[in-house]
Amino acid sequence: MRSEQEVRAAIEQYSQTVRRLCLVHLKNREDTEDILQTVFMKYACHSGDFESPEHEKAWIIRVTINQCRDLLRKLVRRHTIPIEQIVDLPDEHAFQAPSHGGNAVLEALLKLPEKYKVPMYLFYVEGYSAVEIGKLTKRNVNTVYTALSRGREMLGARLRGGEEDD
Amino acid sequence: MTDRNGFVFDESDRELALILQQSFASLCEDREMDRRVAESVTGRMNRRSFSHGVRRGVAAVAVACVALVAVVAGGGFVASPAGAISLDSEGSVKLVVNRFNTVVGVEYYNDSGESMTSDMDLEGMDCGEAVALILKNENDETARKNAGAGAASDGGSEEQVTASVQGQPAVMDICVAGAGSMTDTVQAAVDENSSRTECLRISVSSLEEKERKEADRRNISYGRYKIYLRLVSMGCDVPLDQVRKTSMDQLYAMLDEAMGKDTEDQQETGSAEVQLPDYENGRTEQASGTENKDENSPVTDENPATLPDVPEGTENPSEPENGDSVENGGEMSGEGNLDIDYANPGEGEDAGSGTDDSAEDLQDDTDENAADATDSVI
Repeated sequence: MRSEQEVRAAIEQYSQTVRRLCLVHLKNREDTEDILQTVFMKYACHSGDFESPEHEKAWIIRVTINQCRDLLRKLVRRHTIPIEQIVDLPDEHAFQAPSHGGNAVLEALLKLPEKYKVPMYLFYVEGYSAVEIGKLTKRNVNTVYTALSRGREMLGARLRGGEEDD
Repeated sequence: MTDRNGFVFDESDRELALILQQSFASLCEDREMDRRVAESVTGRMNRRSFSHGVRRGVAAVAVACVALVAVVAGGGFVASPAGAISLDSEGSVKLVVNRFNTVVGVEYYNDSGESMTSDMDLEGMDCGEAVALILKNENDETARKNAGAGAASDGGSEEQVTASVQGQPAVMDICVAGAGSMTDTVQAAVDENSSRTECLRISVSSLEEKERKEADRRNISYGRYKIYLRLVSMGCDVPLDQVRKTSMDQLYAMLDEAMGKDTEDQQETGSAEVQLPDYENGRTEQASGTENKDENSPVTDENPATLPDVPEGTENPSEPENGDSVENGGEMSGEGNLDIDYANPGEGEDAGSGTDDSAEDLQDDTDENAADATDSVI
């Protein structure tokens, strides 16, 4: 088990990344906090060494994505409100969207299908290459390229006012 | 513009990335949540390490307890006696055996018994091996005695030579009490070592649980107790203490004598069914009242030395035509058997039918021989 200092440092360094990924997947503050606790608890219990800070960050992202997917599966199994509907629901606990122009782009991104928005987020926000995204999401590199291309087209169409969907 | 893997990355992509990064940055800044998460995670870590330590401690204690129970129970299971083997000759020793036919204890009934296993570490040994070791030791001891007796005999001190050491085999009675393959194991050990125990006359028998308990209660070896029971059943008033102290050779002689008397009693009452010598085998059969003799006694016509000394003049056992084979059967043959007229089996059969005259002669001879035999044994 890692020391308390290591865990606090990791939270300081990676909490925003985890929170952003949660936003992409969940859009819910309570769930985001649960995911944060789970991810950093796993980090605290992880006994293996990381080769580099990049390796450590990739491990955090991988765990976060898995936790978000697990949570979504649980929600689906519980027959709760589908995640697609959550996007449209007014939620006092939801992240407050900014009112400037970036908000429209962000909203458009978050409304993309799951298979497009995650590669888009990792590519544009986190700055990972398609190969790295393929490793992180365990997808073929060409699939990632396709997702990026279609996601970009879809995002452009949404920002232009269209309702193009996959 | 492409990324390093060939993905087209134009200026609009740069702008998109910048807008998204700013949007996410403004959205996801939440120091309060980070603090809560840090407190929660570190608190869970502390509880986890404590409970982990406690669980480890509990697990270690549980494992230790299970191991202790296993060792104690397993050891008890292995060490618990499942039977016993009594070896009786001049002395008596008992091997306590577990369910795996392994010796887990050695008990002595007298000093002679202790000398039977002197310098032997029998515990932990297979019961067959332990029996073989004791038999070999007894065989060597008997051989030494016989050699000493021969030297003494040459020196003219014949009085000091007892029947059991006159260059003859000594009786070794092995009595097995317990279930399972113990008897077979002991018998196999006896058979395998028969060539190395030529100075012993070995008999292997088993004992019922009830008799075993009684023998243990009375602190007497199983072989001696069996003979004691037979003597008592034949009406002999023998103190148990005497049976404990008497050698097996002498006990068998007493048994032979008692059997002879028993046969006589049956003949007197006319109930004895006299049988003739087995001429084909050169052996003398017994009356029906002593029909178990061969089974219980290792003394046979091949072992005349274990017989009581019969004075000359009384050891003319059988004239088959007179039915004398009966009393000699009771006295267990001996050299007297050499006088049996094996050439005339037909006469023997006639004698076996038992006429009044021959019965009277038989009774007279039997009384004389029985009295002489008793003198020589006790």
